[in-house]
Amino acid sequence: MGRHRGLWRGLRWALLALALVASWHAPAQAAPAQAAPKSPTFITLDGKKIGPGELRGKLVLVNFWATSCGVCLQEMPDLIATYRRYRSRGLEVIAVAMDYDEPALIRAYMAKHRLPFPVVFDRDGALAKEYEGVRATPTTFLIDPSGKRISKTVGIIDFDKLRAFLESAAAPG
Amino acid sequence: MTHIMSKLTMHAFLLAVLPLAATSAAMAAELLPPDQAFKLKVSVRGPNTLIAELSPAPQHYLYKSKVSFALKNANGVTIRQVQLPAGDAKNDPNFGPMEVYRKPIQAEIALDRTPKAKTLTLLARYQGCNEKLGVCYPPIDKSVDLVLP
Repeated sequence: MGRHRGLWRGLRWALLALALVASWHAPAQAAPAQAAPKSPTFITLDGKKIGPGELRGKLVLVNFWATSCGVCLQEMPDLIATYRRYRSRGLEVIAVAMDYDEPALIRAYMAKHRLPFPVVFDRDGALAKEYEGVRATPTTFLIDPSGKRISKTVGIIDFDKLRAFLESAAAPG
Repeated sequence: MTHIMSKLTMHAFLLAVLPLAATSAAMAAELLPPDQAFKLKVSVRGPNTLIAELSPAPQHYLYKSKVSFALKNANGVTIRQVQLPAGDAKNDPNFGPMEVYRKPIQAEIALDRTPKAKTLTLLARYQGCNEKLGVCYPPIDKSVDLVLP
């Protein structure tokens, strides 16, 4: 009985979460209500393909950024640290450089800062379009292990909140 | 994975009530369309000079180094010099010392032209950020058709 009560409580929280997550989306940026988000294949600058199958079961953070975006570069060290800390607990990070960026600049930044996670160049803007028409950077999405987008953040990430969430949601360390 | 999934179900509310940024739906709604965030007005000042006025909205700034101009459809006309005013000093942790424009500025574009050259299209490119929300816009490209006196 107690177990059932716990499950119902969990379900209520999940429904609350769905309602609140939905409310974050700015009307101008929201995807059409009927359109279920697809899970695209990411192709890194090094040519490696990361398909939905490889990401299934992981908590995935997709960060749209640009080398010309000072705010994006400002949050990069924290993103690297968060990835290093939670990678073994099921977190994957994919950094998607916007189509107006330059591959040479992206590579230089990757090398200089030794980015430990996959970096994708959204050459034709297809990923930005797929992810609700991202325009401003940084814009960050969290994808749950089943492939559903569970949050969208426009602007610099609050890493205290992200870590609090990861502590509660990621696998034990 | 099972653990992650069950934890996610039980704690999804934590994520929901604690957005990962200071960004909320209300703040996201404040994100101005690029053309409202940064306005461009171009005028002809005499036979050899164009003035491009760039106006960032409040709490927005433009990178001085990302402002550029070019011409197209401009037979007999070239840009001799672009004069940009000094901006506010900004010591960016990644880009180092740089200048930004938080107030409207006027760029003076000096032209070389043949006497018969009359029409041209000015191409302007600029890029900036919203300081309050902590987001940057993509480069904005504009073209303006002009007739020289």
